[in-house]
Amino acid sequence: MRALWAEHAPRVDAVVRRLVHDADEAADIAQEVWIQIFRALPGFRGDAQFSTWAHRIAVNRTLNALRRARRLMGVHEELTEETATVEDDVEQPFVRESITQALDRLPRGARTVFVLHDVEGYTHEEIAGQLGITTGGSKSQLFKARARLRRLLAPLIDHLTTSTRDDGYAAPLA
Amino acid sequence: MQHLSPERIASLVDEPATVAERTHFELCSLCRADYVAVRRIVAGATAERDRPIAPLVPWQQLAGALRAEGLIAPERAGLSLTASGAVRSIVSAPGVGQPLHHPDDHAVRGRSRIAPWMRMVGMAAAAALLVTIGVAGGRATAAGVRGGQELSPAIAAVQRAVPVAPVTAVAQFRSPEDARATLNSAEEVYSGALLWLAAHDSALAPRQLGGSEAAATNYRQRLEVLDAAMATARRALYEAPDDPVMNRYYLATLGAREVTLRRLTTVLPASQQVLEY
Repeated sequence: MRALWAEHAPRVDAVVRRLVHDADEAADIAQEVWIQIFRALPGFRGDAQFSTWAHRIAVNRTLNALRRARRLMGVHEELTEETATVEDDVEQPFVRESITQALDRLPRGARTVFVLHDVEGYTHEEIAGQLGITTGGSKSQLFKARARLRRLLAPLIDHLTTSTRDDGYAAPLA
Repeated sequence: MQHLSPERIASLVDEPATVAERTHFELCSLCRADYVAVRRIVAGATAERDRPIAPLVPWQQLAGALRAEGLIAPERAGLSLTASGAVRSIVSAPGVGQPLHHPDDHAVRGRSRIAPWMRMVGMAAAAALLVTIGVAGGRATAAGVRGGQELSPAIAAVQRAVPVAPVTAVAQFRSPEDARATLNSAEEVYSGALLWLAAHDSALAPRQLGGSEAAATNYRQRLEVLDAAMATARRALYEAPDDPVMNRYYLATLGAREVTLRRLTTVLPASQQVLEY
């Protein structure tokens, strides 16, 4: 069990951490996730890889925990006015950090949808089912999250763009 | 045309743009830069999925919670799984030389008896484990075998069939850490070879077996043995969740099971697929 945990915890716990803003709460939920994994282990059928199976348990359990704590009440919440002042923070250290850290600046609902879609690869239909929202709501939250991350990470991203000859532009799909 | 809104630009990563929007991008460096930036963020986010982090909960804390849930045995003074005990568990596992009977083995209940050649596979697996314990387990682990305990006839048979390195031959290990490192390394090679064989063993190829149906039957038989071994390993891990040998054995078996399921899928008719096993 310890080896199984040691091999998979770095990625299973990572998905929990991405979904949960608070580090202490993430640790509590990660423990719940692993208890659930070991409890369900005898029923693991092998029709998916263990890592995929464990990953899905992590996502489901984390969303359940967040829902239980009523932290998903904000899934429909609008982006706050804080967004509009992000540009004033461009010199703050956090903008030089990774996307993971920038996620902490997103509203909970937008963060959840962004992580599920752009990081974990869920479809809007799956997200809608998980969160009890419409696919349109899922898309709306995703696009707001991306737009906000773009503003949060503007200095970093723009520096990357200007430091290379190729601006990386490829026309959107027609 | 006015600049596109940030949300609209963000949506164009996976939604089609209108002709007017595409034309605007050609002319507007600001919107184009925003679009490129969003694409970079999405690509970066996708890459995040494979980025591991340090576990959020230390194993000791998790083990305590697992004990409280009854998923591993309570800590008891002096409790340990000796090497000989571990081997006895494997050799006496359902499906390895014995009929299937354990009530917990729901995965194998009601299936056919194991073919003789599969018993040989099971014995070979037990033998490999025994060799691993004997060679890499170090003095402490080997003490259970060495200490004059009477071995079961099954283990004695394995020992007769597979020469086991005498305990004195492990003297090259300088420390328990050294022995553990060797054990990990050997187990990685062993697991890799096991998985490779499971995926490439030509003896189980449909052509050699006279058709896909026969190959599927053999894969199913292998799965029965692996299920039995996993059930036994789980019971052992309940008592000794930290035992490195049993952990490695369980992981190797789990990996072999996944590979075998995938191989089974490749020999089934196109109209069939494994939904549950």
